[in-house]
Amino acid sequence: MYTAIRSTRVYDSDLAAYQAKTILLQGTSIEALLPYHASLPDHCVVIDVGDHYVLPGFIDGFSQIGAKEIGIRWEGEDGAETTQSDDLAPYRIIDSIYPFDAAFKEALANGVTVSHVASGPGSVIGAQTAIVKHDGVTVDEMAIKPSFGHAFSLGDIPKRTFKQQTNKPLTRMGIAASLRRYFDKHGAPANVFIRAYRGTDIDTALRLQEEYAFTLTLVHGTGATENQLNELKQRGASLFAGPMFQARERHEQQTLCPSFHKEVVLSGIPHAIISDHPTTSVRNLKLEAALAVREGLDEKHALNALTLTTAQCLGISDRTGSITAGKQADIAIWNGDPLSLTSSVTHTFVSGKLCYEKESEQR
Amino acid sequence: MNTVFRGADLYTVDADFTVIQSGDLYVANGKISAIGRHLNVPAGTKEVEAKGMVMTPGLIDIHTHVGIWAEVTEDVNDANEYSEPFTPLMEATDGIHLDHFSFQDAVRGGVTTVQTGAGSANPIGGIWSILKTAGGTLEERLLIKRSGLKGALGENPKNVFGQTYRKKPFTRMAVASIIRNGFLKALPYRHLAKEELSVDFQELWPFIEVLNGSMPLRLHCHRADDIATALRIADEFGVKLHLEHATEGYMMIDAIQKAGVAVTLGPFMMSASKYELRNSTPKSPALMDEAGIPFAIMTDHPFTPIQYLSVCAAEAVKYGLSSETALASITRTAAELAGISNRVGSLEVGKDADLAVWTGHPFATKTKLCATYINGSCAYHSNPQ
Repeated sequence: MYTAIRSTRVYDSDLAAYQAKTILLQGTSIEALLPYHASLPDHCVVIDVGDHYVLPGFIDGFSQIGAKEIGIRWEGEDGAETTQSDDLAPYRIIDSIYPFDAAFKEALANGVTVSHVASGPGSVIGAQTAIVKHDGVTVDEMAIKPSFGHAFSLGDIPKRTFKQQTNKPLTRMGIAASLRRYFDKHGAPANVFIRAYRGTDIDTALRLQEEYAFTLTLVHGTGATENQLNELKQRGASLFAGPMFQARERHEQQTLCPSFHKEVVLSGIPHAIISDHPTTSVRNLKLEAALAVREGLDEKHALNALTLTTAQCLGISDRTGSITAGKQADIAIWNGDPLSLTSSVTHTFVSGKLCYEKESEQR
Repeated sequence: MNTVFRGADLYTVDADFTVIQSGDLYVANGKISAIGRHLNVPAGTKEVEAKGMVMTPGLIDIHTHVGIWAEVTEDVNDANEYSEPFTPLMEATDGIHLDHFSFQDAVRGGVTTVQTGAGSANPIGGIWSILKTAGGTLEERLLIKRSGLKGALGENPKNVFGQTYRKKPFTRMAVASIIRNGFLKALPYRHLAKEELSVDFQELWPFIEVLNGSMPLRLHCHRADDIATALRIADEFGVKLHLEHATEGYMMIDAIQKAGVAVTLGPFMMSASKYELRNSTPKSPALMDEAGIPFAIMTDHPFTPIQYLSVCAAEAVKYGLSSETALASITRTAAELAGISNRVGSLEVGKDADLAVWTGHPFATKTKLCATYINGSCAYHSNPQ
């Protein structure tokens, strides 16, 4: 049983261009990319979407989706444990993901098919992260990688959280010391993700990377100077930037500006655009990219930062992140240029299954 | 200094949504004094080349906390007086910090007029004001000093007072009773002037103003039951009500229509951060428009940063609202609903020269704001001369 999606605008990630193609799907995978007018096998359902834009499903490089449920407060907040974990059993975000969080549906309705889920920023030592697809009823079936990296958090939020809970200050020196203690005891995890905004915290992350030689991904990073970006590049680090589209509640957020995305790309660091949902809604992942384009980022890098580059950074580009024969069929169809502020998704496929279709009465 | 802007596409947002391609706009003494094509202007007029640009009225956000919410330094926030749930004497003008960066953010986003004031912690929070985002002293910037009595229903007062401070109100009925109490106490004195009220009764004056129609009651309400309570209270006392947020309003369109009230919608860009927001959707403006309910779109700055007001309107277009109505919801309609359309909200002769100059249509991704003018003076320029 085959399905074919036919469009004059299928996105080619390598060429960063739209081309007339027919995408042949079988089961969970992209069987082949055929010429637009190719003859199709028997028993093939053809979905002709005319001039609509067909793109790989977006990947949210850093998110609390499912772990911090929307529309509810503490009852659905399971990504922010601020007590110490039992030494033998580090926290794993996979134990906190609720597949029926309404945000998963919102993600699909906005063409986002995969999230890298991490713990919240409240505690310095976070949890093992997981990479999940947005379709399924148990996290086990959703997980591409149930344990991928480990999330840590620096700066204003862990300081504030600690103060609220203990009425004692937590200093930046204390934060660095507790990270060293953790790495000394457990060894540095593979794939370290460090949340940091302010320059001082980015320096701390760089220092720790030098001391423990782990693979570093800096998350947020908006206060990074040109020197720090060069240093991150030399260390082979990645930068998961954003979200700029959020309220500025703290000192360290004064630097939020969509132009930062362009700076990261110019520095040559592998760059992903993230929502850190619900920091900004996963619905705004495209908006984040569009605002970056408004500030001068070219469209190719903007789209890559939502698809292929992110997949490469997360080690899942063998199966998703572009419309390529042999990869899983994670595909979103848009009724206009996906980087337009007013375009929206009409269909979303996750692993070949149609998981979202726009209501026809929704004009 | 009088100025003429030459050659821009003028989105006037007049009653017919007239767009003048390659038009000229002449500003004299801070007012728009001529609009058309190839205008003849007096000698000595400053010429501004705007060919290929788009000009819209300066944007208007009638529900913000610009200049009063501390943002990056929350410990000095002046937007919510937490000491009491009933604070009708709090005036926005006593808290607005003109040098706060949110005013610069506003002009960077083409926003020239904001309504601002108390947050939503209190069932009765205080008096809001409407002002320009740049140019002169607070008094000079004010359009309406007392633009409404702001109150809040639902989760926020319950959370702040009941859950956090362990005092009244714990429940929605107590929130409603605190609001009613102000009106009930004021009713016997509604014929008195402010100076005739004794010192002990000054707290009743804002309620008398609302009862006498000199300003509306502005109630923060998200959930459908809270919207219904707001309508009920307004009906009981015969006062003019403006619904703030009305997040679940689209689920009870008939009741809002029947009451004939206006709404300010939003913020709908962010994730639902609490229970009463879980039905929040950017479809709401399109559904309100279909029902013929007049609405403005808000950022609720800082919750969505003020510089993204145009992005909020574009999001409503993405969910089915017409581009014209969306632009009106942050210009002309916003001005009408706030009672300031005699001064601002459209590019028409006689209005204040509050202008936003863009490189293209404000809802297009690559459009950037070139400049913002307030009363004909440049309040922001992307390339300062």
